[in-house]
Amino acid sequence: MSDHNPTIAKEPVIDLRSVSLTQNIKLALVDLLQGILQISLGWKLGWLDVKLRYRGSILGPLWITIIMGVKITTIGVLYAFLLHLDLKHYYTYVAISVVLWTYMSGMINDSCTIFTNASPLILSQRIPFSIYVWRTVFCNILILLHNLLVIIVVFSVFKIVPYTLYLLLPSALLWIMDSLAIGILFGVLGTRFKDIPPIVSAFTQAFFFITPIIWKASSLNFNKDYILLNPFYPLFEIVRAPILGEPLTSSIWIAAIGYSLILWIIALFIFSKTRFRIPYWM
Amino acid sequence: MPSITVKNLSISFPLYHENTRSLRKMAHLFVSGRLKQDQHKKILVQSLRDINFTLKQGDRVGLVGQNGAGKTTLLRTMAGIYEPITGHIRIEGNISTLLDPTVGMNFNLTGRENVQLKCSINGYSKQQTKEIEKNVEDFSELGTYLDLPVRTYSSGMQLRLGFGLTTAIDPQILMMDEWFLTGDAGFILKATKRIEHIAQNSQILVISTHSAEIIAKWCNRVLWLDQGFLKMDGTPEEVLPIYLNKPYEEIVGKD
Repeated sequence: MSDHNPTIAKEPVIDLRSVSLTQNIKLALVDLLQGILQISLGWKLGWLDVKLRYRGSILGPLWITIIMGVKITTIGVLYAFLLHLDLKHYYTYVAISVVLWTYMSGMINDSCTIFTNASPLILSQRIPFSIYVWRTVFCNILILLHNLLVIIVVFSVFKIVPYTLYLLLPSALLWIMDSLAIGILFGVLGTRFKDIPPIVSAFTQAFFFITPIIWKASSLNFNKDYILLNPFYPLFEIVRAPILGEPLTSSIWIAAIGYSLILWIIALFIFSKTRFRIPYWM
Repeated sequence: MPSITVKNLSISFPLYHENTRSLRKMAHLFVSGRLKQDQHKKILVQSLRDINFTLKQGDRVGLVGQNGAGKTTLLRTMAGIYEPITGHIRIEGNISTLLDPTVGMNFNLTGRENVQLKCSINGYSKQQTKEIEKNVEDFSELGTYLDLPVRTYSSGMQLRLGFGLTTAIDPQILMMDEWFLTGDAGFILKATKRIEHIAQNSQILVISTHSAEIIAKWCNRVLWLDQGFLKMDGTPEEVLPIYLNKPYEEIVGKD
Protein backbone atom coordinates (compact mmCIF):
# COMPACT_ATOMS: atom_id res chain seq x y z
CA MET A 1 0.00 0.00 0.00
CA SER A 2 1.49 3.32 -1.00
CA ASP A 3 1.98 5.92 1.66
CA HIS A 4 -0.28 8.32 -0.18
CA ASN A 5 -3.21 6.01 -0.59
CA PRO A 6 -5.26 6.52 2.54
CA THR A 7 -7.16 3.36 3.22
CA ILE A 8 -8.01 1.50 6.36
CA ALA A 9 -6.66 -1.90 5.54
CA LYS A 10 -7.52 -4.88 7.63
CA GLU A 11 -5.77 -4.69 10.96
CA PRO A 12 -3.19 -4.05 11.99
CA VAL A 13 -2.40 -1.10 9.70
CA ILE A 14 -4.34 2.09 10.30
CA ASP A 15 -3.57 5.00 8.03
CA LEU A 16 -5.45 8.17 8.83
CA ARG A 17 -5.58 11.64 7.40
CA SER A 18 -8.12 14.10 6.16
CA VAL A 19 -9.47 12.92 2.82
CA SER A 20 -11.90 14.02 0.11
CA LEU A 21 -15.61 13.29 0.23
CA THR A 22 -15.31 10.45 -2.30
CA GLN A 23 -12.66 8.82 -0.14
CA ASN A 24 -14.82 9.37 2.90
CA ILE A 25 -17.73 7.63 1.20
CA LYS A 26 -15.36 4.73 0.55
CA LEU A 27 -14.31 4.71 4.21
CA ALA A 28 -17.96 4.81 5.29
CA LEU A 29 -18.68 1.79 3.09
CA VAL A 30 -15.62 0.03 4.54
CA ASP A 31 -17.02 0.73 8.00
CA LEU A 32 -20.36 -0.79 6.98
CA LEU A 33 -18.63 -3.80 5.46
CA GLN A 34 -16.54 -4.36 8.58
CA GLY A 35 -19.72 -4.06 10.60
CA ILE A 36 -21.23 -6.91 8.58
CA LEU A 37 -18.07 -8.99 8.93
CA GLN A 38 -18.20 -8.51 12.69
CA ILE A 39 -21.96 -8.82 12.90
CA SER A 40 -21.73 -11.43 15.64
CA LEU A 41 -20.24 -8.74 17.88
CA GLY A 42 -23.23 -6.49 17.16
CA TRP A 43 -25.49 -9.41 18.01
CA LYS A 44 -23.65 -10.05 21.26
CA LEU A 45 -23.85 -6.41 22.33
CA GLY A 46 -27.56 -6.21 21.47
CA TRP A 47 -28.30 -9.45 23.27
CA LEU A 48 -26.47 -8.25 26.38
CA ASP A 49 -28.49 -5.02 26.29
CA VAL A 50 -31.76 -6.93 26.43
CA LYS A 51 -30.42 -9.34 29.01
CA LEU A 52 -29.20 -6.49 31.22
CA ARG A 53 -32.47 -4.64 31.04
CA TYR A 54 -34.29 -7.54 32.67
CA ARG A 55 -31.57 -8.96 34.88
CA GLY A 56 -32.91 -9.48 38.39
CA SER A 57 -36.53 -9.44 37.27
CA ILE A 58 -38.55 -12.59 37.95
CA LEU A 59 -40.41 -12.71 34.66
CA GLY A 60 -37.48 -11.17 32.82
CA PRO A 61 -37.97 -10.32 29.16
CA LEU A 62 -41.41 -11.90 29.35
CA TRP A 63 -42.48 -8.49 30.64
CA ILE A 64 -42.03 -7.16 27.11
CA THR A 65 -44.64 -9.66 25.94
CA ILE A 66 -47.03 -8.96 28.81
CA ILE A 67 -46.90 -5.19 28.39
CA MET A 68 -47.58 -5.58 24.69
CA GLY A 69 -50.47 -7.96 25.35
CA VAL A 70 -52.10 -5.50 27.72
CA LYS A 71 -51.62 -2.62 25.30
CA ILE A 72 -53.04 -4.46 22.29
CA THR A 73 -55.98 -5.86 24.20
CA THR A 74 -56.89 -2.43 25.57
CA ILE A 75 -56.72 -0.73 22.18
CA GLY A 76 -58.29 -3.63 20.28
CA VAL A 77 -61.27 -4.15 22.55
CA LEU A 78 -61.86 -0.49 23.36
CA TYR A 79 -61.89 0.83 19.80
CA ALA A 80 -63.71 -2.15 18.35
CA PHE A 81 -66.45 -1.42 20.89
CA LEU A 82 -66.41 2.38 20.56
CA LEU A 83 -66.33 2.43 16.76
CA HIS A 84 -68.57 -0.63 16.27
CA LEU A 85 -65.90 -2.57 14.40
CA ASP A 86 -65.65 -6.29 13.83
CA LEU A 87 -63.63 -7.41 16.87
CA LYS A 88 -61.77 -10.29 15.23
CA HIS A 89 -60.71 -8.29 12.21
CA TYR A 90 -59.82 -5.08 14.08
CA TYR A 91 -58.06 -6.88 16.93
CA THR A 92 -55.70 -8.79 14.64
CA TYR A 93 -55.03 -5.66 12.59
CA VAL A 94 -54.16 -3.66 15.70
CA ALA A 95 -52.01 -6.47 17.10
CA ILE A 96 -49.78 -6.53 14.03
CA SER A 97 -49.72 -2.76 13.61
CA VAL A 98 -48.87 -1.94 17.20
CA VAL A 99 -46.14 -4.59 17.37
CA LEU A 100 -44.62 -3.21 14.18
CA TRP A 101 -44.91 0.35 15.44
CA THR A 102 -43.26 -0.57 18.73
CA TYR A 103 -40.32 -1.90 16.77
CA MET A 104 -40.15 1.12 14.48
CA SER A 105 -40.51 3.79 17.14
CA GLY A 106 -38.15 1.92 19.45
CA MET A 107 -35.58 1.73 16.69
CA ILE A 108 -35.89 5.43 15.86
CA ASN A 109 -35.78 6.62 19.48
CA ASP A 110 -32.92 4.30 20.47
CA SER A 111 -31.00 5.44 17.42
CA CYS A 112 -30.56 8.94 18.82
CA THR A 113 -28.39 7.61 21.63
CA ILE A 114 -26.55 4.83 19.81
CA PHE A 115 -23.18 6.57 19.91
CA THR A 116 -23.59 8.68 23.04
CA ASN A 117 -24.44 5.59 25.07
CA ALA A 118 -21.44 3.78 23.68
CA SER A 119 -19.02 6.64 24.38
CA PRO A 120 -16.84 4.72 26.91
CA LEU A 121 -16.27 2.02 24.31
CA ILE A 122 -15.84 4.43 21.41
CA LEU A 123 -13.22 6.41 23.32
CA SER A 124 -11.34 3.33 24.43
CA GLN A 125 -10.95 1.39 21.22
CA ARG A 126 -11.29 1.74 17.48
CA ILE A 127 -14.25 -0.33 16.32
CA PRO A 128 -16.34 0.14 13.15
CA PHE A 129 -19.16 2.51 14.05
CA SER A 130 -21.73 0.38 12.26
CA ILE A 131 -21.25 -2.28 14.98
CA TYR A 132 -23.01 0.03 17.42
CA VAL A 133 -25.86 0.44 14.96
CA TRP A 134 -26.22 -3.32 14.57
CA ARG A 135 -26.30 -3.55 18.33
CA THR A 136 -29.41 -1.37 18.48
CA VAL A 137 -30.97 -3.14 15.51
CA PHE A 138 -30.52 -6.53 17.18
CA CYS A 139 -31.72 -5.22 20.52
CA ASN A 140 -34.95 -4.07 18.89
CA ILE A 141 -35.32 -7.25 16.84
CA LEU A 142 -35.09 -9.26 20.07
CA ILE A 143 -37.83 -7.15 21.60
CA LEU A 144 -39.86 -7.63 18.41
CA LEU A 145 -39.47 -11.40 18.72
CA HIS A 146 -40.90 -11.26 22.23
CA ASN A 147 -43.82 -9.22 20.97
CA LEU A 148 -44.45 -11.71 18.17
CA LEU A 149 -45.65 -14.09 20.87
CA VAL A 150 -48.63 -11.80 21.37
CA ILE A 151 -49.49 -11.97 17.69
CA ILE A 152 -49.22 -15.75 17.73
CA VAL A 153 -51.58 -15.88 20.72
CA VAL A 154 -54.05 -13.49 19.07
CA PHE A 155 -54.01 -15.49 15.84
CA SER A 156 -54.58 -18.76 17.68
CA VAL A 157 -57.42 -17.31 19.73
CA PHE A 158 -59.22 -16.10 16.62
CA LYS A 159 -58.17 -19.20 14.67
CA ILE A 160 -56.62 -17.21 11.86
CA VAL A 161 -54.13 -18.83 9.55
CA PRO A 162 -51.71 -16.29 8.06
CA TYR A 163 -51.72 -16.82 4.33
CA THR A 164 -48.72 -15.71 2.39
CA LEU A 165 -45.95 -15.59 4.97
CA TYR A 166 -43.17 -16.21 2.44
CA LEU A 167 -43.95 -12.75 1.03
CA LEU A 168 -42.63 -11.37 4.31
CA LEU A 169 -39.06 -12.23 3.41
CA PRO A 170 -38.37 -9.25 1.12
CA SER A 171 -40.29 -7.01 3.53
CA ALA A 172 -38.20 -8.14 6.50
CA LEU A 173 -35.04 -7.57 4.50
CA LEU A 174 -36.12 -4.05 3.62
CA TRP A 175 -36.99 -3.36 7.26
CA ILE A 176 -33.55 -4.47 8.44
CA MET A 177 -31.86 -2.33 5.80
CA ASP A 178 -33.98 0.65 6.81
CA SER A 179 -33.28 0.04 10.49
CA LEU A 180 -29.57 0.24 9.78
CA ALA A 181 -29.98 3.49 7.87
CA ILE A 182 -32.19 4.95 10.61
CA GLY A 183 -29.58 3.98 13.19
CA ILE A 184 -26.78 5.65 11.29
CA LEU A 185 -28.75 8.79 10.49
CA PHE A 186 -30.30 9.46 13.90
CA GLY A 187 -27.24 8.12 15.70
CA VAL A 188 -25.03 10.76 14.12
CA LEU A 189 -27.60 13.54 14.44
CA GLY A 190 -28.35 12.65 18.06
CA THR A 191 -24.65 12.76 18.92
CA ARG A 192 -24.03 16.08 17.26
CA PHE A 193 -27.24 17.89 18.28
CA LYS A 194 -28.46 17.36 21.81
CA ASP A 195 -31.95 18.54 20.83
CA ILE A 196 -32.51 15.73 18.37
CA PRO A 197 -33.69 13.02 20.82
CA PRO A 198 -36.66 15.02 22.19
CA ILE A 199 -37.58 16.29 18.72
CA VAL A 200 -37.53 12.77 17.34
CA SER A 201 -39.54 11.50 20.26
CA ALA A 202 -42.19 14.17 19.66
CA PHE A 203 -42.42 13.33 15.97
CA THR A 204 -42.65 9.57 16.44
CA GLN A 205 -45.52 10.22 18.84
CA ALA A 206 -47.27 12.29 16.18
CA PHE A 207 -46.69 9.64 13.52
CA PHE A 208 -48.29 7.03 15.72
CA PHE A 209 -51.58 8.86 15.17
CA ILE A 210 -51.01 10.03 11.59
CA THR A 211 -50.05 6.59 10.30
CA PRO A 212 -52.77 3.95 9.88
CA ILE A 213 -51.91 1.92 12.98
CA ILE A 214 -54.94 2.02 15.22
CA TRP A 215 -57.15 3.03 12.30
CA LYS A 216 -57.40 1.60 8.81
CA ALA A 217 -56.47 3.34 5.59
CA SER A 218 -59.72 2.08 4.06
CA SER A 219 -61.69 4.24 6.50
CA LEU A 220 -60.42 7.43 4.85
CA ASN A 221 -63.07 9.25 2.86
CA PHE A 222 -60.66 11.03 0.53
CA ASN A 223 -58.26 9.83 -2.15
CA LYS A 224 -56.21 7.11 -0.50
CA ASP A 225 -53.13 7.82 -2.61
CA TYR A 226 -52.31 10.78 -0.40
CA ILE A 227 -51.54 8.42 2.38
CA LEU A 228 -48.51 7.20 0.45
CA LEU A 229 -46.92 10.53 1.34
CA ASN A 230 -46.45 9.13 4.82
CA PRO A 231 -43.24 7.07 4.55
CA PHE A 232 -44.35 4.73 7.31
CA TYR A 233 -47.53 3.67 5.53
CA PRO A 234 -46.01 1.69 2.62
CA LEU A 235 -43.44 0.16 4.98
CA PHE A 236 -46.20 -1.06 7.26
CA GLU A 237 -48.37 -2.28 4.41
CA ILE A 238 -45.68 -4.51 2.92
CA VAL A 239 -45.57 -6.42 6.22
CA ARG A 240 -49.22 -6.24 7.22
CA ALA A 241 -50.84 -7.21 3.93
CA PRO A 242 -49.05 -10.57 3.51
CA ILE A 243 -49.93 -11.57 7.10
CA LEU A 244 -53.56 -10.56 6.82
CA GLY A 245 -53.84 -11.96 3.32
CA GLU A 246 -54.77 -8.62 1.81
CA PRO A 247 -53.79 -7.62 -1.72
CA LEU A 248 -50.77 -5.35 -2.20
CA THR A 249 -50.63 -2.87 -5.05
CA SER A 250 -47.31 -2.38 -6.77
CA SER A 251 -47.43 1.33 -5.95
CA ILE A 252 -47.01 0.45 -2.29
CA TRP A 253 -43.88 -1.58 -2.93
CA ILE A 254 -42.51 1.14 -5.20
CA ALA A 255 -43.14 3.72 -2.49
CA ALA A 256 -41.56 1.52 0.18
CA ILE A 257 -38.42 0.95 -1.87
CA GLY A 258 -38.31 4.58 -2.94
CA TYR A 259 -38.46 5.90 0.62
CA SER A 260 -35.85 3.35 1.68
CA LEU A 261 -33.51 4.48 -1.09
CA ILE A 262 -33.90 8.12 -0.10
CA LEU A 263 -33.28 7.21 3.53
CA TRP A 264 -30.14 5.28 2.62
CA ILE A 265 -28.76 8.03 0.43
CA ILE A 266 -29.21 10.61 3.19
CA ALA A 267 -27.81 8.26 5.83
CA LEU A 268 -24.79 7.32 3.75
CA PHE A 269 -24.06 10.94 2.88
CA ILE A 270 -24.24 12.07 6.50
CA PHE A 271 -22.25 9.08 7.67
CA SER A 272 -19.53 9.79 5.11
CA LYS A 273 -19.34 13.41 6.15
CA THR A 274 -19.30 12.82 9.89
CA ARG A 275 -18.09 9.28 10.66
CA PHE A 276 -14.61 10.40 11.72
CA ARG A 277 -16.11 13.23 13.76
CA ILE A 278 -18.16 11.05 16.11
CA PRO A 279 -15.46 10.57 18.80
CA TYR A 280 -14.81 14.32 18.83
CA TRP A 281 -18.40 14.95 19.88
CA MET A 282 -18.30 12.66 22.90
CA MET B 1 7.14 -4.51 12.57
CA PRO B 2 5.10 -2.21 14.76
CA SER B 3 5.56 1.48 14.12
CA ILE B 4 3.73 4.75 14.52
CA THR B 5 4.35 7.64 12.17
CA VAL B 6 2.92 11.04 12.98
CA LYS B 7 3.24 13.86 10.46
CA ASN B 8 2.12 17.47 10.93
CA LEU B 9 -0.63 16.26 13.19
CA SER B 10 -3.08 18.77 14.63
CA ILE B 11 -6.19 17.84 16.55
CA SER B 12 -8.78 20.41 17.49
CA PHE B 13 -12.12 19.99 19.15
CA PRO B 14 -15.09 22.02 18.02
CA LEU B 15 -17.04 23.50 20.91
CA TYR B 16 -20.72 23.08 20.14
CA HIS B 17 -22.31 22.43 23.43
CA GLU B 18 -20.54 25.12 25.41
CA ASN B 19 -21.80 28.63 25.40
CA THR B 20 -19.26 29.73 22.86
CA ARG B 21 -20.24 33.34 23.15
CA SER B 22 -19.35 33.50 26.80
CA LEU B 23 -15.80 34.39 25.99
CA ARG B 24 -15.07 35.47 29.51
CA LYS B 25 -15.17 31.82 30.50
CA MET B 26 -12.65 30.90 27.90
CA ALA B 27 -10.48 33.94 28.15
CA HIS B 28 -7.57 31.96 29.50
CA LEU B 29 -7.74 29.62 26.53
CA PHE B 30 -7.65 32.59 24.18
CA VAL B 31 -4.69 34.05 26.01
CA SER B 32 -2.76 30.82 25.62
CA GLY B 33 -3.60 30.90 21.90
CA ARG B 34 -5.31 27.53 21.92
CA LEU B 35 -8.70 28.74 20.79
CA LYS B 36 -9.26 29.74 17.24
CA GLN B 37 -12.17 30.10 14.86
CA ASP B 38 -12.44 28.02 11.74
CA GLN B 39 -13.94 29.18 8.45
CA HIS B 40 -17.45 28.54 9.75
CA LYS B 41 -16.83 30.74 12.82
CA LYS B 42 -16.90 27.66 15.00
CA ILE B 43 -14.80 27.87 18.11
CA LEU B 44 -12.09 25.25 18.17
CA VAL B 45 -9.89 24.12 21.01
CA GLN B 46 -6.54 23.10 19.67
CA SER B 47 -5.48 20.07 21.57
CA LEU B 48 -2.47 19.10 19.48
CA ARG B 49 -0.56 21.42 17.21
CA ASP B 50 1.68 20.33 14.35
CA ILE B 51 3.19 17.22 15.91
CA ASN B 52 5.83 15.15 14.14
CA PHE B 53 7.55 11.98 15.31
CA THR B 54 8.08 8.33 14.49
CA LEU B 55 8.01 5.47 16.94
CA LYS B 56 9.81 2.27 16.04
CA GLN B 57 10.03 -1.18 17.49
CA GLY B 58 11.75 -1.08 20.86
CA ASP B 59 10.71 2.46 21.68
CA ARG B 60 9.47 2.80 25.22
CA VAL B 61 8.13 6.25 25.35
CA GLY B 62 7.26 8.41 28.32
CA LEU B 63 4.77 11.14 27.48
CA VAL B 64 5.17 14.11 29.79
CA GLY B 65 3.52 17.48 30.07
CA GLN B 66 1.19 19.44 32.29
CA ASN B 67 -2.44 18.53 32.73
CA GLY B 68 -4.21 19.51 29.54
CA ALA B 69 -1.08 19.47 27.44
CA GLY B 70 -2.76 17.01 25.08
CA LYS B 71 -1.33 13.72 26.36
CA THR B 72 -4.58 11.77 26.42
CA THR B 73 -5.62 13.22 23.07
CA LEU B 74 -2.32 12.10 21.58
CA LEU B 75 -2.74 8.61 23.02
CA ARG B 76 -6.26 8.36 21.62
CA THR B 77 -5.09 9.62 18.25
CA MET B 78 -2.34 7.03 18.21
CA ALA B 79 -4.97 4.40 18.97
CA GLY B 80 -6.87 5.49 15.84
CA ILE B 81 -9.81 6.83 17.82
CA TYR B 82 -9.53 10.49 16.82
CA GLU B 83 -8.99 10.67 13.08
CA PRO B 84 -6.90 13.72 12.21
CA ILE B 85 -8.43 16.58 10.26
CA THR B 86 -4.98 18.03 9.62
CA GLY B 87 -1.90 15.91 9.27
CA HIS B 88 -1.37 12.22 8.94
CA ILE B 89 -0.92 9.27 11.24
CA ARG B 90 -0.03 5.71 10.36
CA ILE B 91 -0.12 2.94 12.91
CA GLU B 92 1.21 -0.53 12.16
CA GLY B 93 0.67 -3.32 14.63
CA ASN B 94 -2.10 -4.31 16.97
CA ILE B 95 -2.80 -1.81 19.69
CA SER B 96 -4.01 -2.16 23.21
CA THR B 97 -4.92 0.88 25.23
CA LEU B 98 -5.34 1.58 28.92
CA LEU B 99 -6.62 5.10 28.65
CA ASP B 100 -9.01 5.14 31.55
CA PRO B 101 -9.59 2.66 34.37
CA THR B 102 -12.90 1.54 32.91
CA VAL B 103 -11.29 0.54 29.58
CA GLY B 104 -14.71 0.72 27.98
CA MET B 105 -16.23 -1.79 30.37
CA ASN B 106 -19.96 -2.05 30.90
CA PHE B 107 -20.48 -1.62 34.63
CA ASN B 108 -23.71 -3.58 34.69
CA LEU B 109 -22.09 -6.69 33.28
CA THR B 110 -20.07 -9.02 35.45
CA GLY B 111 -16.30 -8.98 35.29
CA ARG B 112 -16.28 -12.24 33.36
CA GLU B 113 -18.83 -10.98 30.85
CA ASN B 114 -16.71 -7.90 30.30
CA VAL B 115 -13.67 -10.07 29.66
CA GLN B 116 -15.62 -12.13 27.13
CA LEU B 117 -17.03 -9.03 25.51
CA LYS B 118 -13.59 -7.48 25.15
CA CYS B 119 -12.38 -10.70 23.56
CA SER B 120 -15.16 -10.71 21.01
CA ILE B 121 -14.51 -7.04 20.29
CA ASN B 122 -10.92 -7.98 19.52
CA GLY B 123 -12.11 -10.95 17.50
CA TYR B 124 -10.46 -13.70 19.53
CA SER B 125 -11.33 -17.36 19.16
CA LYS B 126 -13.08 -19.34 21.88
CA GLN B 127 -9.79 -20.95 22.85
CA GLN B 128 -8.01 -17.60 23.16
CA THR B 129 -10.93 -16.18 25.10
CA LYS B 130 -10.68 -19.01 27.60
CA GLU B 131 -6.97 -18.46 28.05
CA ILE B 132 -7.44 -14.74 28.54
CA GLU B 133 -10.25 -15.34 31.00
CA LYS B 134 -7.96 -17.59 33.04
CA ASN B 135 -5.14 -15.11 32.78
CA VAL B 136 -7.31 -12.22 33.99
CA GLU B 137 -8.74 -14.36 36.76
CA ASP B 138 -5.27 -15.12 38.06
CA PHE B 139 -3.95 -11.62 37.73
CA SER B 140 -6.89 -9.71 39.13
CA GLU B 141 -7.34 -12.02 42.16
CA LEU B 142 -11.00 -11.08 42.17
CA GLY B 143 -12.18 -14.57 43.08
CA THR B 144 -15.95 -14.81 43.18
CA TYR B 145 -16.25 -11.10 42.46
CA LEU B 146 -15.47 -11.89 38.85
CA ASP B 147 -19.06 -13.11 38.50
CA LEU B 148 -20.59 -9.99 40.04
CA PRO B 149 -21.43 -6.80 38.16
CA VAL B 150 -18.46 -4.46 37.84
CA ARG B 151 -20.43 -1.65 39.49
CA THR B 152 -20.16 -3.53 42.79
CA TYR B 153 -16.36 -3.39 42.61
CA SER B 154 -14.17 -1.00 44.55
CA SER B 155 -12.08 1.27 42.35
CA GLY B 156 -9.04 -0.84 43.14
CA MET B 157 -10.81 -3.97 41.95
CA GLN B 158 -11.93 -2.24 38.77
CA LEU B 159 -8.36 -1.21 38.24
CA ARG B 160 -7.05 -4.76 38.63
CA LEU B 161 -9.66 -6.09 36.24
CA GLY B 162 -9.10 -3.37 33.66
CA PHE B 163 -5.35 -3.64 33.81
CA GLY B 164 -5.37 -7.44 33.76
CA LEU B 165 -7.74 -7.43 30.80
CA THR B 166 -5.79 -5.00 28.65
CA THR B 167 -2.44 -6.59 29.31
CA ALA B 168 -3.58 -10.22 29.14
CA ILE B 169 -2.63 -10.41 25.50
CA ASP B 170 0.81 -9.23 24.44
CA PRO B 171 -0.08 -6.31 22.24
CA GLN B 172 2.49 -5.03 19.79
CA ILE B 173 1.72 -1.49 20.86
CA LEU B 174 0.60 -0.71 24.39
CA MET B 175 -0.57 2.75 25.35
CA MET B 176 -1.27 3.69 28.92
CA ASP B 177 -2.37 6.62 30.92
CA GLU B 178 -0.75 6.91 34.30
CA TRP B 179 -3.85 6.04 36.30
CA PHE B 180 -2.62 2.49 36.85
CA LEU B 181 -0.25 3.85 39.48
CA THR B 182 -3.14 4.48 41.82
CA GLY B 183 -3.38 0.90 43.05
CA ASP B 184 -1.94 -0.43 46.27
CA ALA B 185 1.70 -1.45 46.59
CA GLY B 186 1.04 -5.11 45.85
CA PHE B 187 -0.82 -4.24 42.68
CA ILE B 188 1.85 -1.82 41.50
CA LEU B 189 4.46 -4.54 41.95
CA LYS B 190 2.45 -6.97 39.83
CA ALA B 191 1.62 -4.33 37.27
CA THR B 192 5.28 -3.40 37.04
CA LYS B 193 6.19 -7.01 36.31
CA ARG B 194 3.63 -7.21 33.55
CA ILE B 195 4.68 -3.99 31.93
CA GLU B 196 8.31 -4.99 32.11
CA HIS B 197 7.41 -8.23 30.40
CA ILE B 198 5.62 -6.39 27.62
CA ALA B 199 8.42 -3.88 27.35
CA GLN B 200 10.97 -6.69 27.11
CA ASN B 201 9.13 -8.18 24.17
CA SER B 202 10.57 -5.11 22.49
CA GLN B 203 7.31 -3.78 21.19
CA ILE B 204 6.21 -0.17 21.44
CA LEU B 205 5.18 1.11 24.81
CA VAL B 206 3.79 4.59 25.40
CA ILE B 207 3.12 5.77 28.94
CA SER B 208 1.65 9.11 29.77
CA THR B 209 2.91 10.03 33.21
CA HIS B 210 3.98 12.73 35.62
CA SER B 211 6.40 10.44 37.39
CA ALA B 212 10.06 10.85 36.50
CA GLU B 213 10.73 7.67 38.39
CA ILE B 214 8.57 5.62 35.99
CA ILE B 215 10.25 7.19 33.01
CA ALA B 216 13.74 6.61 34.33
CA LYS B 217 12.84 3.00 35.00
CA TRP B 218 10.98 1.99 31.85
CA CYS B 219 11.48 4.50 29.12
CA ASN B 220 14.25 5.07 26.63
CA ARG B 221 12.57 8.03 25.01
CA VAL B 222 10.57 11.00 26.23
CA LEU B 223 8.07 13.13 24.36
CA TRP B 224 7.32 16.43 26.10
CA LEU B 225 4.04 18.03 25.18
CA ASP B 226 3.44 21.64 26.07
CA GLN B 227 0.25 23.52 25.17
CA GLY B 228 -0.37 21.01 22.41
CA PHE B 229 3.08 21.42 20.87
CA LEU B 230 5.75 18.75 20.92
CA LYS B 231 8.31 20.73 22.88
CA MET B 232 11.04 18.12 23.08
CA ASP B 233 11.76 14.61 21.86
CA GLY B 234 14.79 12.76 23.18
CA THR B 235 16.22 10.35 25.71
CA PRO B 236 15.22 10.68 29.37
CA GLU B 237 18.71 11.98 30.12
CA GLU B 238 18.19 14.80 27.63
CA VAL B 239 14.59 15.76 28.31
CA LEU B 240 13.95 15.20 32.00
CA PRO B 241 16.56 17.66 33.36
CA ILE B 242 15.05 20.45 31.27
CA TYR B 243 11.46 19.41 31.93
CA LEU B 244 11.96 19.21 35.69
CA ASN B 245 14.66 21.82 35.78
CA LYS B 246 17.11 19.82 37.85
CA PRO B 247 20.09 17.57 37.15
CA TYR B 248 19.36 14.03 35.95
CA GLU B 249 21.31 12.39 38.78
CA GLU B 250 19.04 14.09 41.26
CA ILE B 251 15.92 12.84 39.46
CA VAL B 252 17.09 9.25 39.30
CA GLY B 253 18.62 9.35 42.77
CA LYS B 254 15.30 10.30 44.31
CA ASP B 255 14.10 6.71 44.60
